[in-house]
Amino acid sequence: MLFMQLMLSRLLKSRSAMSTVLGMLIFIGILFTCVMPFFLYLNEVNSLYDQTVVEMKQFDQDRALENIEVYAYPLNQSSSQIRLYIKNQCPLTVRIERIWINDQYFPCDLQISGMGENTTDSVDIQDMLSQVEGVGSFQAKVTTARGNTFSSLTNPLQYSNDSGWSGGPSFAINIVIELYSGVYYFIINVDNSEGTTIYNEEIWVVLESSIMRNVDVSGPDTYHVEITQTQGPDKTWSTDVEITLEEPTKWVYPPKDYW
Amino acid sequence: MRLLGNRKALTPVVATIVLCGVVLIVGISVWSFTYSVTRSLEEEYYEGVKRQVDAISERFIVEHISYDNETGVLNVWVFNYGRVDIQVDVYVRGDAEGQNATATSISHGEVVRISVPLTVNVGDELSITVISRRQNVVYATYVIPSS
Repeated sequence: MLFMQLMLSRLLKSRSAMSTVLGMLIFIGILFTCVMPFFLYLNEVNSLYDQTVVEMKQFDQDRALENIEVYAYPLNQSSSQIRLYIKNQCPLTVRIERIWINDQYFPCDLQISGMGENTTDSVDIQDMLSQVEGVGSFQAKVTTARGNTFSSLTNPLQYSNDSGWSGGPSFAINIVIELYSGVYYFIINVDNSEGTTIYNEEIWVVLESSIMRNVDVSGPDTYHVEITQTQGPDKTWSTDVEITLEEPTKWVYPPKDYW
Repeated sequence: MRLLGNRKALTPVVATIVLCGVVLIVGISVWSFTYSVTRSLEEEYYEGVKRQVDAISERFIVEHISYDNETGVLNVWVFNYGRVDIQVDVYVRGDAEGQNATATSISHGEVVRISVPLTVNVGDELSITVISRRQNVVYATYVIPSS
């Protein structure tokens, strides 16, 4: 206490000391109210930038990881409705934003979970089909929300007013089963001419109006396609499909009323 | 009263008050100046960084290209899948040249068709460059189909 009184009386005796203290206080005030917040603010803004860089790197990485298989298929041999069966081959959820058929796009909002599969709603292309003279070629693709586009593996789909849909670039059998809404359990089996099973799949179908499966085959041959439905009374539908060099892709459409 | 009557005693007190007053006035002025300068610098710095953040947040692709033979127009669909709205110009080079440099606005998540008037022949190869006003660039190529 005595020391404090001594210091105060000394300070009061010296005018310049008083001003120095005041000046020092103001300097410290400037330091704490202007300079330090300024540098803290810069640091915060820099962090925002760094965070955005990291987020965009992650965004680009996710985009590069995106991988889906798209199969566009007409609902039946002469249908104007096209659906796309999409298999997600990556661990990320993929959102489909648009479906392109030639130069026309159709908005879509479909999510496919990682390694899952889904089918889009039907796209009506009656306007395009009505303009077809002879044989019309259709290219389908989808755009994802991450900015990737994936072309259909069944491109080009070909349509003629006489024979309906055909086409496809590779040796394959495309099986399209159109259904009434309900629950089905299908066993799809494809054998080659030697009796060797080249494709076998068991599928639950719940409240879907159609399913499509793409069966890649090794080359020209006659293949036996057998589709068995075991939910309720068993029903089996089968057909022989001849794959040739002239027509490497064949479309198989069991009758909708059969099931 | 004794202090007021004694001029020699009064002078140091007045001098101290005046000196402290001057120090305070100068100090507050300096503080005020420093405060406004740092605020202004903060805003400038933020705006600069914000511009950079927007530039690195831009993402867009040329989603689809088609040529309309009847109207002689090349249609370029640009999809903005980034986080910020963009403005883009489209330049076509190669076997034919044209451009649409009207700074077409595309909101994030939207696709917009940009038309470029062009006279081309079947088989012409075109290089399409889409440049955003933040100087990001996307390229695409297109060959004029037969029909």
